[in-house]
Amino acid sequence: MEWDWVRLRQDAEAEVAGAATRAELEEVRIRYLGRKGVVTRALAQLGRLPPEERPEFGRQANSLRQGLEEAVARRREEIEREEETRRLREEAVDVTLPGVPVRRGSLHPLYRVAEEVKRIFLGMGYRVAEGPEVEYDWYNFEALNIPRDHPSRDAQESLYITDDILLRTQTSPVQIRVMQAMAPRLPVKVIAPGKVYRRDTVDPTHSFMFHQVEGLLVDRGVTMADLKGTLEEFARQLYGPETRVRLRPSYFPFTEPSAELDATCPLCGGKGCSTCGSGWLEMAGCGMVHPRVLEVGGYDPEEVTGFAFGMGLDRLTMLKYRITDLRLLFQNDVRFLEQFI
Amino acid sequence: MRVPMAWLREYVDIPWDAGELAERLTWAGLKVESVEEVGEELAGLVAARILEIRPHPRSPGLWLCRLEDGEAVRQVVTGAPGLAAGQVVAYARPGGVLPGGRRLGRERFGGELSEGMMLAATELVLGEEHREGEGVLVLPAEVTPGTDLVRYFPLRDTVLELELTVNYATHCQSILGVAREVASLTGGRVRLPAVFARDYQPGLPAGEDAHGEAARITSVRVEDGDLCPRYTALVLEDVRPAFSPVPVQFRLHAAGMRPLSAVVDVTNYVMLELGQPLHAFDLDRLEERRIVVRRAREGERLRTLDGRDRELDGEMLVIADAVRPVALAGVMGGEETEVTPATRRVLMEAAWFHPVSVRRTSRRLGLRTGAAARFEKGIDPAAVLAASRRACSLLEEMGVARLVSGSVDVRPSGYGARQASLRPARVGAVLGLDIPESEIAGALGRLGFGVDTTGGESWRVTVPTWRADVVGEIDLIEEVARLHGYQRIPSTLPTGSPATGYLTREQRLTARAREILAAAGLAEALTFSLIAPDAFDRLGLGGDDPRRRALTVRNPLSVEWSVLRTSLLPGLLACLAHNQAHRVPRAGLFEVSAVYLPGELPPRELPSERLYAAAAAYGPWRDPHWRGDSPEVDYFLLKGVVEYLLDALGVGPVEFTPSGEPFLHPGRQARITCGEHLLGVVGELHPRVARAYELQGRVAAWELDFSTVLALATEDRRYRPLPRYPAVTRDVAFMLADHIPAARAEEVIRRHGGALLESLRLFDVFRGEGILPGHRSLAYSLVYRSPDKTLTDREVDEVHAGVRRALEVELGATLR
Ligand SMILES: [Zn+2]
Repeated sequence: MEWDWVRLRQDAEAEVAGAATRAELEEVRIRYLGRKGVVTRALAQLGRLPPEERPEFGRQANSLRQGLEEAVARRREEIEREEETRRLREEAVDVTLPGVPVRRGSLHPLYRVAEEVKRIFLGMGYRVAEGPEVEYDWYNFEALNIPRDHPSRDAQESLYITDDILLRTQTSPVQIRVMQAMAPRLPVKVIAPGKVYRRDTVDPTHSFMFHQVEGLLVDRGVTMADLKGTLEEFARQLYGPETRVRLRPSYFPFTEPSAELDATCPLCGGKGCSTCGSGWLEMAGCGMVHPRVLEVGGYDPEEVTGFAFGMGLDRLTMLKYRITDLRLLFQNDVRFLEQFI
Repeated sequence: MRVPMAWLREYVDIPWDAGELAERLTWAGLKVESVEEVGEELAGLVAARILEIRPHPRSPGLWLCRLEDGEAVRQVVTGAPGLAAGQVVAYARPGGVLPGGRRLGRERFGGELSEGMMLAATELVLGEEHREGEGVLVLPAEVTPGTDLVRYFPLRDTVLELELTVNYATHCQSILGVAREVASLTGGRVRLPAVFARDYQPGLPAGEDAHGEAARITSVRVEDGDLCPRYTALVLEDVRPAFSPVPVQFRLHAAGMRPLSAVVDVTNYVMLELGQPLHAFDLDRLEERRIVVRRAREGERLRTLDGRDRELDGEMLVIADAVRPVALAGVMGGEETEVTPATRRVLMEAAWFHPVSVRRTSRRLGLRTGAAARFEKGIDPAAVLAASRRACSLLEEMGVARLVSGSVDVRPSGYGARQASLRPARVGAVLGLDIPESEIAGALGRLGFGVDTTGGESWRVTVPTWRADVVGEIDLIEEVARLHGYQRIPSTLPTGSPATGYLTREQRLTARAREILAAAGLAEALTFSLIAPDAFDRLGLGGDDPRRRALTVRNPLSVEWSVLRTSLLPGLLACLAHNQAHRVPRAGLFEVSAVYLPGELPPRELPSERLYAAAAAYGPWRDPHWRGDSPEVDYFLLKGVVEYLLDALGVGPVEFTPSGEPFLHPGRQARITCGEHLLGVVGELHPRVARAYELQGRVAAWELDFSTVLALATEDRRYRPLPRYPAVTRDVAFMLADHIPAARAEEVIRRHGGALLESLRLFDVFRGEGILPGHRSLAYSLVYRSPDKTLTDREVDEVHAGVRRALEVELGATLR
């Protein structure tokens, strides 16, 4: 029997190429390369050929088998790729559909600001002190140079529990407690954020409960220039490096000299806007710790000096997030809270 | 404090306009709140000559007046009596504008045209109806018709509104005080009224001076000298009722006071001008025409000038006559002895009352007067009698009274300039800048301090009597600072002892807890520490529940916020209700904050402020989504959050056991414990409590004593080696009676699983078909693993069989 190797190869390759699925390809493979396939049968005839024809026949048959095996493998790969492509096309989704929601929690804006304030002062070497909110009148007033009949008690109408115990009206009593705990060690370098209370009605800018952060540095050679520089550094970290500050004379019974610290308004950069008016915003009440307060704290005012400051955290928060109504901070409407994710 | 500029300029030269002055005063510590133009609106107010006056033809009691106002001849209908042709009067033309903005036009009265209006002083100054007994303002005959009255008097000024801090209120609550401040800024001098300058007594010893006619007419006895270091009296005779001249009235008005009668106006005028409150008594209404300064006696009463009867107490200092109190010292006079049109003789009181006494009386009675505001800050004792003389001389100039000779001046205490010392080097050391000594001395000198620098390192400084606020060295340093200029203080950073900033363990863990709770999907809330007294009833707490032991604010503004919370939950539940009321479909809140737990009640010591953590939630856990709905908040969702929190803080092992909180669902609540420590409680809200808070649907909540949690928390984490050998998983499902908690089954499984049981997980809880009533089926997946070899099936089967047997034997479980 004469074998038309060329023809045979052409037919087989055409069939492999024509197979559209893995099943069809397998059929073709079995037809040629299977146990009863054309090529297998051809090779089985080899023994019956005259010896001089055998090498040539063997070479042709093996070459055909090898070629076909390769063609089948190639084709299988092609088919698999096509099938995968089709499957992926079928699996396409509308990518604009919303993602599966994660339950979103949030941190209260006021505490976020408190954290930021803490972070800045921690970086400047301050520790965070705490003091009781229910406080003795003595710590809240007397120790801070505000005796019973001092006129500046007018501005701070207090909520009293007994004659001697009240809800602190300011974070300043922490100054006394910290100094008394620290004396005579130096430096005393703390901030004290916390709740304070005054006998005020709740409206868009007032509340009977609000938040302050107190700062205190007592050491040898502390000056009012240090106070200004410290709060300037704070303002720059909080509002940006362009921020400028200024000290304006003011009065607090427990500091002298006393000042208000203004910072350029972060909203308008100090050009003046509807929030600040003049381009300046009051940021802190501050001053040099009054010698009598140092004495109460257990320090000798001849040996050390100190500065103290107090800031309204609620106001900082409102400014930072452009909140115009203080009451929002305490209503805990989740539509408000969840904006601070 | 309102300062009319023209008045201030009488006392001191000002090289600046109002805006610049305001700026400079603010920088010197006298904060100028606003600069206001008074009388800006005025127009068409002129002098007019009456040409003819005749009765109105039809309306009795009215007259027709023809006026010449420099522009035209006008007709005005008037009811004012006593006018005559030839008089020059104050007149508002038609189209003219009175203070307050009232515009005049043309009207008809009884058919007669009336153009504009003739004006009484009250109309001219205040724009209000004339006072009783007050007629049309008649001007000197030589005033030309058409003269602009706004400029003539004048009736226009720029007013600075000062917001004085407590320390500057001592010496700046007067034109004179502000003038002294201005002079310190300009380096100029203050001009004093001559009579004031002459009688100003910089220092006097204690004693009594009574002389002249005044001493024969009246006497003063100060019984309580501790509250009244100085009391002076002058006597005026031939007093006649009158109104003050227009310029005086205008200044009072511009400074924010109402003009009344000449005598009262002058006392107010001098108080505004010199800072010394004065009071005029009708001398003939004082019993025995004498003054006794004493504390009130129990039961005494006084009707004050505002017409109110005041009950007095023994703490209050009063001015009395021989019999009864006639004034509240330094606060307000009495109605019975006030100056009236019938008054013929006046006793002019000028005194120095103790600041604290005045303040107490004023506060106790709720009477905030200009006099009290000045006395309670401390007045200048040297100016007392001089100011009184200034007032009397003004009244004489007005021609409404005659000052009799002599005076009575009783001084239980003397007074005089105080001494303070100042180390000039200390100024720079406190402020952090170099100020030359000459500048320090100069600044103090310009403020009226006497500076003796001969001490070299320590100076003697004489404090003027009007500076009650200046006591020690630091006060002087502040004076130098504000005059030198706060703007000139540089910015430096402290260079003292080294210090490192860090958070304490508790602070760090608390911050971490808040982050975990936010990560768990809750929104951080900030609620008021004060709650309503009925909060405990709303929670249904028993009468002896320890949480009812709460501190109460004695003087709350609203009872809604009057009790210091002993739990965070009332606040959070109220906030959930707020959210539901605003139709918010889902809310989950947490808070980490203090509760206030008192010791004994009423408290003698501060309460324990314990940090608690709490959460409360309602609604679907997630927003509805196209991939399927979310579970609704219930016990297990919030339990999961607590477990997460405690795990993350390294607190464990934690047990949940059934509990009996009255405010929680009796079958869905658990006490949370760690060893012998009670950490808190978690559960679903009792429907009765939900109704009390007007909450709909299921609400779940938990509360932890976070201080205890913090104590148990650990930041230690140890690495556990990853398993090197494969695990074998076996499931076990069994039916268990409802009264046996799953925790018991887990305990049995663990005990019998032994060292090879790596973990177990409940994956199904089933009731219904095939399950006995009162039972449920639990299915656990158990993972077995050995750390040092691959387990064979036989080894696992043996252990697992032991577990299954134990469930049957120990718990009566039916294996499925
Ligand atoms: Zn701005």
